[in-house]
Amino acid sequence: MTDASIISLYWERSEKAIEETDLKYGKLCRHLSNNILNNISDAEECVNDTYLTVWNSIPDENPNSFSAFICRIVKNLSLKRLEYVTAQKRKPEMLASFDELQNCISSESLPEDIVDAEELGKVISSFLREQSRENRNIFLRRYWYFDSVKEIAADYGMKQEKVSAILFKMKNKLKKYLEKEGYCI
Amino acid sequence: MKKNILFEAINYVDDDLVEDALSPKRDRNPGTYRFLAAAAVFTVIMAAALTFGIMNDSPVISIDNNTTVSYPDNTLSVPKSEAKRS
Repeated sequence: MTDASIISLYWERSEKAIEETDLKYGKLCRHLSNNILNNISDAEECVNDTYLTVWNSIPDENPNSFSAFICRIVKNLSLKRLEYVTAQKRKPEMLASFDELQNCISSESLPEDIVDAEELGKVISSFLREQSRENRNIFLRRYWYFDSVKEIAADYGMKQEKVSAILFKMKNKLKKYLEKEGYCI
Repeated sequence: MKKNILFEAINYVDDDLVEDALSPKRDRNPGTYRFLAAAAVFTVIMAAALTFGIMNDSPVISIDNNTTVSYPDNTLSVPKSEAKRS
């Protein structure tokens, strides 16, 4: 079923909407949530909360990209849940991804109260649009979806070393780009 | 969790980019596409050249009074009388 048809079902308040969403995006949502939480039952709960959130959101919002919309919701809910679980349960992949990015920008030079994350997100989007599609997608698979280097390498038919090298170069480029845009003092 | 503004900002990357990242298959290098396109064009041109070349190299016999058995590049041109004899 197409995304537009699924959205129509939400508009009609048909419970089949959730069924179809789960059929099409359930696996992706569980994978993304599990990347963050490293716990299948927590991930399952987040996915169910996601469907409820989508159900409540759709009459007010008409997402252009349903897949991005649902992934964003499941990611945010999973990150919120992560704040409640113990550090031992955190998935190394997600934390590794988090640590890798910390070097791109100095948090001391960017106090959170003066930097708008949404605005910075737009700058990152502009940067990503200047990259090749493959590099851009690898970057997002790593830092948006928290996929492991191993998973990305398997999907793209590359060696893990190559994926790591691409990510390393992308991070350096991003750092320079952000500096150029005035995001480093 | 220690806050990282960049980490948070990535969450605001445009939807179309986030969606596109889900396409799992590896993209061919743009150079590969250019090479394949050039190869296709070259093949078509070569095929056309060979086809016309073969057609043009074939002896042509016209049926008017000046009939000659000739090749287009004038390497061989046989007068009508000789053509009849042969």
